[in-house]
Amino acid sequence: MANLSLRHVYKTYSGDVHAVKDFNLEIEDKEFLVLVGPSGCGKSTTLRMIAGLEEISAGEIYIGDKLVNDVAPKDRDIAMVFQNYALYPHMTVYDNMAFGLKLRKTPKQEIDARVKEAARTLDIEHLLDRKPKALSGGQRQRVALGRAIVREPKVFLMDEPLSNLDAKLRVQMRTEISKLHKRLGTTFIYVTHDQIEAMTMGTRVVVMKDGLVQQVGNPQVIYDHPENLFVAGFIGSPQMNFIDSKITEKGGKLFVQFNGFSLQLPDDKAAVVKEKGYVGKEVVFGVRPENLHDDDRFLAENPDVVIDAKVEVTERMGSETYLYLSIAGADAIARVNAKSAAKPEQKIRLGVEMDRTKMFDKETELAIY
Amino acid sequence: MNNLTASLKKIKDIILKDVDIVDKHGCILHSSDPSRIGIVVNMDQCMPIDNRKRYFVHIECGSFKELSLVQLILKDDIIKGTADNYQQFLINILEGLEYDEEYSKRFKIPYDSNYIIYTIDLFNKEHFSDAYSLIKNGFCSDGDRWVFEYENRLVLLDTIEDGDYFEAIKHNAMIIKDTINSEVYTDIHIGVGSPHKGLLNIRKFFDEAEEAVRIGKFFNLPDYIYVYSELLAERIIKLVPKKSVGNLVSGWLNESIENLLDEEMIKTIEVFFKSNLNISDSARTLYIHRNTLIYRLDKVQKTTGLDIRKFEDAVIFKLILLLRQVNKYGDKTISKG
Repeated sequence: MANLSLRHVYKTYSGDVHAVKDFNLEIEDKEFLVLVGPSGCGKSTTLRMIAGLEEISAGEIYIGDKLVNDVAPKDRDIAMVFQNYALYPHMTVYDNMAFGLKLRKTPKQEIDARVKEAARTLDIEHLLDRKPKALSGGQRQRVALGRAIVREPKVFLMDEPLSNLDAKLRVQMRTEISKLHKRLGTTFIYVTHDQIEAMTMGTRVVVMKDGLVQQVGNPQVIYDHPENLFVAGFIGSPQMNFIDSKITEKGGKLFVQFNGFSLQLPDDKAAVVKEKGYVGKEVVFGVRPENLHDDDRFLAENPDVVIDAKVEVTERMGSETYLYLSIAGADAIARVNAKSAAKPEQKIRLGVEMDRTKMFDKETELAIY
Repeated sequence: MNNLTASLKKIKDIILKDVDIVDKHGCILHSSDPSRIGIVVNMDQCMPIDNRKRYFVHIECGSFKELSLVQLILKDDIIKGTADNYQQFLINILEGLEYDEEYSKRFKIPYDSNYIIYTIDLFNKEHFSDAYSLIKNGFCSDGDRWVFEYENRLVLLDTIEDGDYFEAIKHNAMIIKDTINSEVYTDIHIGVGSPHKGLLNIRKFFDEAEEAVRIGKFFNLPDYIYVYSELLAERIIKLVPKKSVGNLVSGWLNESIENLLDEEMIKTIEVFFKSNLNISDSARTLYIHRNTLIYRLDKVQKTTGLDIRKFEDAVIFKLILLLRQVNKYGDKTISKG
């Protein structure tokens, strides 16, 4: 078990390719930290620098209190799980889990104890004599995790370990890995491009883009309070709707104006916008799909925040319905009640839950509120 | 082995001196007098047989002429005869010896199968024996894969079925890489030669795998997995004489294009090419709005006159990017490892 510290870490390849820029983070002992971002954002490079598979160009990495910049990967007390795991087809589950320890010349008795303990943790004791081909997909994944667990590392590093699985198994393994984290009480650092994995698994999430950390926080904070336009758009599915708007003032009240609509800002948000000097300026107005409502009750209770939209497509998910909309020519998505009567080509009215909206500077893309 | 011993005995009958084959420490491995095996002789009286100086011919009080003659007559037989395990057998084939099918049967390696060669170059050579052990014990137990050490790297010979194997080859390489990363704690470069038929042809495809690694390192290709057949454009560019590279790109690489090609733009273009010029897929991968991507592609068109949404212009632009890299970095390898 260990905390980690990354201080001003950079990765630059010759040829001026900056994969990671000034990465700073304190990772607590037993934390489940998720690095998330689009392809090429530097998340895997960061993980590989922690592992020691990539040298760092500048900065310091500590595992526990030990500076590990020049420590060989095998001596960093870490275990890694990657996307393209493969069980050794001719070995039993027991031997698959024991093999890495044998390479490290671990005494037989200790290997036996560790393998059995890991098998207990993963609930695969009954499978130890089987060969991989006799296992289900989920069982194979657990064996792959078992190979890492037997090393009893201070830190688990996982790079997209679920990416090659089908959707159903991926959901199942998400839960299993989260449970495993709780059971082992060890620090997990997990890389994914899938924001749903990030949100559901991480105790803390680091959102990255172009080698830079965009925001660090617990999943709910990142969802509710994205610090910039990128994070707001990346986290959340379907993603947040963004509407180019202008802030106007009338009778002491502030309004968000776009495409012929004018929505009054709640007082607390208006105060922030005014204080930051955005009155009369262009901004990006952000509304999450679930904060657009088509039910009569909401529309009746909030007549000042209603806009007109045309339904292009409806997706009925069973528990909810996605409406793909055109709002005065701009595309948007609403996540409404499954019982919504909206149909394609229909013109509907939507209420905007203004308390839950976000606003961003058009130039800097930073959150205004 | 019997053939080799018999040949040594025949030579002894002619020159009336014992003839030995010794290793680099002078230890007799084969002899016209088998009772001499294991004796250590003076290396001053030895002559190397193979280029890598692993085997030497030794004649007690033998002249230079005698040593040269024996070396000349027995070179191939001696090297062939030293293949007492499949690793040495495959190394000898790589070094140009032509074995008949009987030998391949001895080592249970099919003579006429379809093969693929992977060369595995470890960043940290300290872990060489662990990586060897992992691949040998983890992936080579079914009689259809063989791993051996050659010139400071691991070589994996794999049999393949006829048909659609290109995806499988790349996937296997990724499995090897991820497994060595996680079990042996070092990164690797993997070169992959073209699929081919016949065991005696592996040298050509070993060279392809090695060339793929050199090219991959030079062009800083991602993932450290380099498949020779996928690197045609890079190989062609590498064939362009250095003097011509500058001429070829001089019309294209002016200041405004250099300004255009910042990190973000190069990444955008690379992803666009990798996504087969598909705007939606590229935008999704880059996590940018379609319109942002279209704006960037328009910018490329305005600056270069090439609309890389069109296949022909995309090909030209890809070549320009590769030539630019050669022009910028010359022979210097720009990747790590």
